Amino acid sequence: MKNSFLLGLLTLSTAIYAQHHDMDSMHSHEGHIHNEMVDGKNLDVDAQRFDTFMIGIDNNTIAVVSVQGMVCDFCARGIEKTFSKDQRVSKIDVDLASGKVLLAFSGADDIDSADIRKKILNNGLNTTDIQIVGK
Amino acid sequence: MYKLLTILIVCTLSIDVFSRPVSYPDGWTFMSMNDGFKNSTHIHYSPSAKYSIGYKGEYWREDEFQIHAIQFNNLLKRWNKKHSQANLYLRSGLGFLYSDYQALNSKIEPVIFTGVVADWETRRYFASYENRFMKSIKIKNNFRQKSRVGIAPYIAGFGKLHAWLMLEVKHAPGDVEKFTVTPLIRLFKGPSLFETGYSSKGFLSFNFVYRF
Repeated sequence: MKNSFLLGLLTLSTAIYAQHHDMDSMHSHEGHIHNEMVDGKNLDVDAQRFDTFMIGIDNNTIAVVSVQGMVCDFCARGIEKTFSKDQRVSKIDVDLASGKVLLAFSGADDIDSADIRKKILNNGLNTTDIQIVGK
Repeated sequence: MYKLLTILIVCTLSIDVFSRPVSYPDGWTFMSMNDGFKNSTHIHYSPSAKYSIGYKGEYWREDEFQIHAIQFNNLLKRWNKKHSQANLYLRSGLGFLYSDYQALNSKIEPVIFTGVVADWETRRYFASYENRFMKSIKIKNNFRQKSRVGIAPYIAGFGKLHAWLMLEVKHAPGDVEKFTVTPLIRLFKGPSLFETGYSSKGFLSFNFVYRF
């Protein structure tokens, strides 16, 4: 009797947890910009990192830049320093693990991809892809 | 704390440099290395990611001579891959050598030196090689080379504390004991890098780099 009760309790709690987890998952992804398609491709970013980056900059346009060769902190620091001098750039995030640089442009209707590529190249690194999202 | 910091900086002043002779555009770098042979300092400015120019100072303790030179560092080639980067640099210097060793008695001569630096790294592994030929008129001519391998015990994100365990082998054909092996630990965070090791000849080494 006692074992049956415990088994029932375990089953019930598992079901409740699963339902709650599904709802959480739906909530954390619903309406978030990282689900957007860019030029027919899914936005290639770490969803959680992207959501964290977007806090407080909802109206910005975001450039997701894929960079080759960005394997050390010193290389990444040069990129951060370069873009922090650009007054249109309101926020920067460098992810060494994925080789991505997120750039938030405030009030920028025309993000110049060629300029981004040039700045990355001037830092001795290569841009392989740029995805523009937002606005 | 400030006293400790001051002592640390003074101890690491005047050291030689290892990898990355060129910084990012408009970047300044202060490097110093202190080992069983010499103390040296290198301060350079990088107008672009392809070259840098700066001052190089060395004091070789046993032979009692100093070098003061202008050093040029050129990035000859870089290979960028998704998970790795490799570089080939040329380093060259021109200056003067001063020695008061025994009969030399404060003698000064012009000195030139040149050499290559090659490195390859991922976020987990590191390898490098560098050499240098140095020539003065009479006081000192030498060739030295060294190589390093390293592994990061954990992978740290941008701006976090990075740690590396490294093994360095130096080769000095002109010395009595030609090889020196030094295990090192390298730590860096933000613009600062510090490393220390203990060589097979029983010498401590302290290296410090600051980029800004």
